[in-house]
Amino acid sequence: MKERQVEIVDKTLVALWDVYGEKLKEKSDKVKELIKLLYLIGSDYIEITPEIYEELFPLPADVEFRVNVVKEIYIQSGCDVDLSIKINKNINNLNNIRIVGLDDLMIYTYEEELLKFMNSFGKGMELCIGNEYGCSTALTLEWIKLGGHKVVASFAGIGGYTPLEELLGAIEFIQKINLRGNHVLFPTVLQIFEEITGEELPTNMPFIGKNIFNVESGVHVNGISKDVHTYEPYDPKEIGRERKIVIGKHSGIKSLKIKLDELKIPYEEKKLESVLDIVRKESTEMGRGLLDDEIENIYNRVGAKR
Amino acid sequence: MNREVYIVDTTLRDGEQAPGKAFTVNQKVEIAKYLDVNNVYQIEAGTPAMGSVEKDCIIQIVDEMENSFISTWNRINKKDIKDSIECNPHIIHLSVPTSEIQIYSNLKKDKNWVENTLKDCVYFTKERGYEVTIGFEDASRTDIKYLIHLCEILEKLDVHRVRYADTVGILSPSTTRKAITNLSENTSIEIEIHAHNDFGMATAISIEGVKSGAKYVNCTLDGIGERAGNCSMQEFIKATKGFFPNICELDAY
Repeated sequence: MKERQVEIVDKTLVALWDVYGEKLKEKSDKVKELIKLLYLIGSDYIEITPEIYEELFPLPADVEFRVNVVKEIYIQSGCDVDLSIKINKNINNLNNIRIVGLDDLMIYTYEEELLKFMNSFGKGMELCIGNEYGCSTALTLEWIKLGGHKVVASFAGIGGYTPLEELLGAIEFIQKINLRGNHVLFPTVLQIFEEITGEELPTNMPFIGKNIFNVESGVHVNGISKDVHTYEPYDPKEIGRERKIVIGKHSGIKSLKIKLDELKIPYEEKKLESVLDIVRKESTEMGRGLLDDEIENIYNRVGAKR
Repeated sequence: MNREVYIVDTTLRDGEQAPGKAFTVNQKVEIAKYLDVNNVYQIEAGTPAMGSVEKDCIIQIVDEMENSFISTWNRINKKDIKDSIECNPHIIHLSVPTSEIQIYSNLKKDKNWVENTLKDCVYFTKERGYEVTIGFEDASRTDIKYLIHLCEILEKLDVHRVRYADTVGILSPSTTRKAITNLSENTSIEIEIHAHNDFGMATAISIEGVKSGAKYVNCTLDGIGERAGNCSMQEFIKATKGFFPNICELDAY
């Protein structure tokens, strides 16, 4: 894949202000820390408003900020593209256009429509797809594949924008374009973001969810123990996480062995089938995976019967 | 688009495989009932090879559903299939690893073994009167020519549907279109798209999959599943209702 520069405009700060407003005033130190981190993971420009600028002054050094002075063209649906281009075709400064919305573009012939924008407004325009239907990362990635240059995102997709971490991950691992960002910092960004919002994000969110590299299924643990690439799209270390084996209803003998080794419990091979049976039953009854001491306890119980 | 698309729910199989997630028997039956009441085309109810608790639960689901087809998930071995037969589902789904990494590094077998075992297992299952569907595991990292070759074998065995599984979630919409179009132009087998959300693109991949010719789509409620999950049924429906005539909103639960 030919290397191609992509520019990411980060709307996290503006979106945080829209959602939490006044509450952020007492957290300005943390917000400044977050700004630095967003820049470090790969956002090129942090979008800011005069109001936020005043609140946070002085701003962190070595970060590029941008006050939103672009002309935003909101297009609700992929079926309105032709009409919208017709209305806006006489705009003079084409480098100053941001197309916003198009949440449902995936349903339409998205490549054709995206190329219409590129041909009408040039590569200097910004694309800011809304995420109402969970398709914004995919559409933004396709825009980049087509040669699109400037895109808009926000951390964890706050405000309904393309999730920054998904976009950065897709650019690096799928498009194989090397941007400057350090993705090992994702867990750090998540932590400070949650401290600011006071809300915990779902643990299965792509790239930032705390549990995405936990693995329970016997088939998957077995595969990963032979070659990690069997069931992992990229190395967890690349995003600052480690894989963790969870023991529960879907575990197999191999997972159990790995877990017992990890817990430094010497085991007898012939006991493992019975142990696994009990593990599956108890996990099903409790509706969750088992804790380390529960696994040890089960192993010892099976031992006592014999 | 003037054609129908069928949702194959896998909340109770791939969804439940989300680490640390285990539904109790009652929860599984409740979820199945909810899907059944909402006329979801097919429910992948679980993996009978996991043992007696899972089997009993699937038997209860098969017994109580009125609208949805019930299927079970199997590796390509006869022990798994016998466990499934004990549950008497409508459809027995056999998952066959297709990528070189799955065949050589994981199974430590070769393509000959895969093809022969697949043939044996399909024959064995069909002979006992069951409808068989095949899952191409890790299809998105498999040479499309090999998948077409497998489809040719399966057509001879009178199999009507294959699942194109993006097991590690690395597809994007344009690569999905390329693969599904290629597969549907070169085989007459119906295609089911199975997406994962590692890059936050499961819904987009599923939409592009059905637009490109897949007739079936795998979803889970709330998008639960391995790692970052599967295609969320609610999101898929929200995005495609009005576009495919038979896709409609679920009741609240």
